Amino acid sequence: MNPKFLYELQPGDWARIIKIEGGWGFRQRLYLRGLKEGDVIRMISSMQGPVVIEVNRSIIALGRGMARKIRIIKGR
Amino acid sequence: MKKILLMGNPNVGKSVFFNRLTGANVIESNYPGTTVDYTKGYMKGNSEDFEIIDVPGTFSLEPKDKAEEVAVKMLEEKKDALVICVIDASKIERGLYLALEIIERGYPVVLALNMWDVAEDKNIQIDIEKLKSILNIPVVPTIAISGKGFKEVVLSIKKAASVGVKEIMEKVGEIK
Repeated sequence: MNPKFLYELQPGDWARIIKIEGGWGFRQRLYLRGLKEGDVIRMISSMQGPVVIEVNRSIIALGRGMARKIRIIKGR
Repeated sequence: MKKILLMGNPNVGKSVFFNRLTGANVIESNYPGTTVDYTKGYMKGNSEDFEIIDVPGTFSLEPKDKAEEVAVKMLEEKKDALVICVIDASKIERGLYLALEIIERGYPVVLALNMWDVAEDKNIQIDIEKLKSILNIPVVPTIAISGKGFKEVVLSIKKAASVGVKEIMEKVGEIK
């Protein structure tokens, strides 16, 4: 099955963010760290612990709970 | 004595900046969140002396953790301060949000585009003149670890004045 949330991606996978679910504060926090809808990301680490992704030439670590709120479609 | 606050996102080089300006030796490392409390130092200018405060990094002026609380409190306590807003030139769009928030609160701001060499390596081109004319504040490219651009930063301090966000937004509207 195609992954639908960020934490379901495997390391090395590419995906596009389609929706960030959650409140205004949460979404703003991600925007300020350079993560927004429409961005293409590359998964670096998702197997355990924090979810680490590369987006817009910078690397961001997210909690698993945060990664559960980010909807994606696989592919670039 | 005129107060200068060094503000910016985490991990953009504020502490290196601070050490350069004051000759102090605060801990700097390549991790976000190295500075969690503020440090004070002094700098001799041409005609007057300045008190420089190294503020913890913050993404916005709505604090989300302890270090950001310190940063926002510092800004609110020093109403007459000038702010040097340090931005990572290779991630410029992230820093401009904070810069605008500080401008909006009426502080005179000098914008320092730090890590200019990194941005060049990544082939990122920034039109400084245009940025200057949009924001109407001094904008200086710097490389804190080598000291490039610091003379200009110190010279720009005199030129900094508070500007209205409204005019900035109008100019941004024109670009579209």
